Amino acid sequence: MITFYLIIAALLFGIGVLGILVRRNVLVMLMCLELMLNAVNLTLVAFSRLHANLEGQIFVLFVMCVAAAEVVVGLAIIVNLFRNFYTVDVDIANGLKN
Amino acid sequence: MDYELITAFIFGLLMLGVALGVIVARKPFASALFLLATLLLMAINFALLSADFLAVLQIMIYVGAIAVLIIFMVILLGAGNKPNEIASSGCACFLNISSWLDGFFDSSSKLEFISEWFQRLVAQGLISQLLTLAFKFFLVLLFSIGLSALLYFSTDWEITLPAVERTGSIHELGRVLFVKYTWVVEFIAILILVAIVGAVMLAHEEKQPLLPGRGLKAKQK
Amino acid sequence: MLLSNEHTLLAIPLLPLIGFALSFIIGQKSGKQLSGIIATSCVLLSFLLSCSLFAALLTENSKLQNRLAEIPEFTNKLNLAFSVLLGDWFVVGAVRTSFELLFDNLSAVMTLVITGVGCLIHVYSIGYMKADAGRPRFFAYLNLFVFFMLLLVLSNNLLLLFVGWEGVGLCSYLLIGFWFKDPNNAKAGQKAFIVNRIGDAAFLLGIFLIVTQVGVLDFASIAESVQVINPRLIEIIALFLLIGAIGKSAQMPLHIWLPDAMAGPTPVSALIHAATMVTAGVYLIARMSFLYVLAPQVELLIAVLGTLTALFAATIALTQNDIKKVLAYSTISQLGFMFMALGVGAFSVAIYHVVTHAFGKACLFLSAGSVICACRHEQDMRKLDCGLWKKMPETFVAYLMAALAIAGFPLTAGFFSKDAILWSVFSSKTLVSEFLIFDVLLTKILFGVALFTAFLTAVYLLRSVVLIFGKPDAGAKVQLATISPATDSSEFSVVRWSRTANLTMLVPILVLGFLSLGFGLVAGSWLMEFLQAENLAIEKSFEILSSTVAVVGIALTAVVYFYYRSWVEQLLNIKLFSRAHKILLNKWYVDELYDLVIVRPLSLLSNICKFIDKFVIDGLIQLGAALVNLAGETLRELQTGKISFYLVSLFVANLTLLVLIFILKLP
Repeated sequence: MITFYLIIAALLFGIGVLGILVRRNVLVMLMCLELMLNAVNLTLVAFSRLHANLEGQIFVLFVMCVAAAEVVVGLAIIVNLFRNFYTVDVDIANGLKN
Repeated sequence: MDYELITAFIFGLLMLGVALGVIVARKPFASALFLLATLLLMAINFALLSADFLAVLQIMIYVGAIAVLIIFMVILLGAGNKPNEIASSGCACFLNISSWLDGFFDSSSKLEFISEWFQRLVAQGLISQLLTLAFKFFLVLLFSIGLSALLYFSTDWEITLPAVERTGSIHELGRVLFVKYTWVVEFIAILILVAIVGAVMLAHEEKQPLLPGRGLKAKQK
Repeated sequence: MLLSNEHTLLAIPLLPLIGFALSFIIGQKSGKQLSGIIATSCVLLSFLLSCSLFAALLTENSKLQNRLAEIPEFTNKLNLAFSVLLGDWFVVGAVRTSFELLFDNLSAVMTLVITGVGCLIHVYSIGYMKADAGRPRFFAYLNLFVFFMLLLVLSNNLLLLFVGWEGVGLCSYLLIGFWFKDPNNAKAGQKAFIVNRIGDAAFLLGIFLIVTQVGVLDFASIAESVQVINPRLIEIIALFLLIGAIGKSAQMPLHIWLPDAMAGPTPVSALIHAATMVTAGVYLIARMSFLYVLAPQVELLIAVLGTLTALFAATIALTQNDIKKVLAYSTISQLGFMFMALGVGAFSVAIYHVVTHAFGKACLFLSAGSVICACRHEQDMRKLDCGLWKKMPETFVAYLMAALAIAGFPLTAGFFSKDAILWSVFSSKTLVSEFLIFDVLLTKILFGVALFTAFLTAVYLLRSVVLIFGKPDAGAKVQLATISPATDSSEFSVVRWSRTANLTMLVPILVLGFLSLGFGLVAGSWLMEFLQAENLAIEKSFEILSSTVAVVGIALTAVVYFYYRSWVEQLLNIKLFSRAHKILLNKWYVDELYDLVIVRPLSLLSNICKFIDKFVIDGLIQLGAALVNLAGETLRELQTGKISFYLVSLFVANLTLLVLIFILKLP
């Protein structure tokens, strides 16, 4: 049964990666990033349940905190991006071109 | 009949389907809603894995804070709207709800108001949209149920999970957390503080004078 | 004595060097005439000092001889020399070179000639360059030249001699191209320098060989250890030094620069190309005489080369119409005589001829300069038919005296030295050849050619005398109005000749003329003894033979050109003679031959090299740069600036790494 959860987590991670690569809207990319983080969380919890070890769940706690902090800062950056370019298309910021 | 396994199948596959919706949805607001659903279903998964504290935490942090923040951003930035319509899109949303509420509480016949509103919705085609959406969701649900049934009956899954006590109890978690990982907790706290300060700094905006008078006042100062 | 001998010796070359610096500095600032006076006084002072040093040498030498006479067992000849050591130049391993000056008999004679004739020519130049704007530079260069020449003859070792050698070459270049605004003058200067360089390269090779064989460079040490060297190497060293001398003294294959060098001012031609620089080659071989007596095959080469050059140049001089060109070829011819003497081992006789030739040729050049000045730079002799012998009598007398001397009129200095050369060739027993059966026959053949050349010398010199100064013909082409001084083309002005300037030009000419007449009688035999010449008992019959040849030549030419000039033109109408005349007039087409054989292939080669340098070498480098550029431009396409592209590349790289590490198990 753990296998099932691991597979689910892997697939969820894959969906998240796919979303980041494919979508151009920066907010949707952020959401897909959250998907990836959640997939990792699921993996950690599954393993913690398998080994009856609490450390996995503690790590998940920390991951959640970091994810929260990261979302906050990321959103601030996106706000700045929007203020400068008036759009959330991520391809607009091509100042490093050539 | 292993109900635990079946439940795990259903909710796991459902979560995957909703996650697909995140990346497939046409509008960013729809993506946000799908994300919300994914996070909720993840909490259920955590609960199924005996990590009940984490399940609650998931709902509190992810669903309650992060997803809400994202939805706020989607609304405010009007993702995909033309520039200079930032305020208008968000305000339009609020104005719509507040005007409906005003209408609801001001109208004499509540039932009539609601039926009128419902007819307007039908005329605009929103009901059909909602029905289509519900239909799609139902399809996904059906699909996940079917697939999980298929999986359950086709493979010999390892059913044996170690019979343990409620390992995800908050007592246990707290004991390990604050005894073994005190320093990490402190550092995480500092990290969050840094994130807050950084976000405030990044998002700080110069005050733009909106009215001529205000501008003059600013100059006189 | 105010100064010690060593200090005097040091001062002799240093004074002209100081004169060079002062002429430049002071001459530019204050009146231009001052530079001439400074330069002349420096050289005059140097001459006086060398005279006093010479006297000191004589007295010391006589004292030494007196002392040696008291020791009956001592039979060797011993001679005194002054030397002063300034310090080491460089010491590399066992090779040590130093700044050392040597004043022995040979150096004394050369120094006196250089400073004496140089002083007179400086005086002349004050008048000649009176209105020239570049006077300070001229006198500075002249002084620099005297310094280098003195360094050459006073040096104790080959390397310092080479410094002087190069220095005089440099000054020659600077002075030939003095009026540099005319590109022909600059080209003539370049030609002189480049041809000299060819000789210098061989000279350097000779010096290197000596260093590798003997390890020292000063003359005394080489003379001591010259027996040690492999005989074949001695010949090769002698050959290399000879090639250097050929370049400097304008002998046959490398003579081409001397006629073109006449583009310089006349005092330059007189000093450098008649009296001093061209004799540097003769001096070198005389100095290294201890080497040349051990290289008989090279000696043979020198003798044959000298004779051929003398004949060759004399034939050309017969037909030339430019005054200075006649004198230039005459110089080459007389240098051939000197080399002839060197070839048969009569080194002192060659030096004697250097001295007499210096007087005579300098006088000829200076008087020619006066004539050119007076006739407004007309240098073609045929156009000068205006009875100059009446209008410039002093110049005429001086020119005649010097011409008679060089032609070999009996009892002039030139006669004595030329006679000595002819006698040493005739009676030489040291000329050895492995290639000819009859050694004796060879010397007689050379003597015959030399005698014929002496006859030709008389002919062309008297021809020039009559043509320049002769009585006016009907159809005189140049009218002598006012005598104008030499001018730079940028500062032309017809100025009446001042009496002082006339005097400064006249006195040196007359002094030199009298010297060339009377030196032989007065000091000839003493000079030969001083230079330790051998085999001087010339038979009476021989003297009569050579004087007859000279007199006949002189008289015949004078008469023909004076009275029967039309005969000459009729002679030239005969086809054989006119063809010969054309060849001789064009200098045996040597310049054209060199141009075809050497210059054109070299310039083709240099063009090829230029092409290779520009396209191949530079092209390779540019190709490298272009490749880098291309790579940069191509890789620049990767920087799209799009975040989505960066994310995809991040993902792909990550995936690749994971595959490599976990699936293919690469560490």
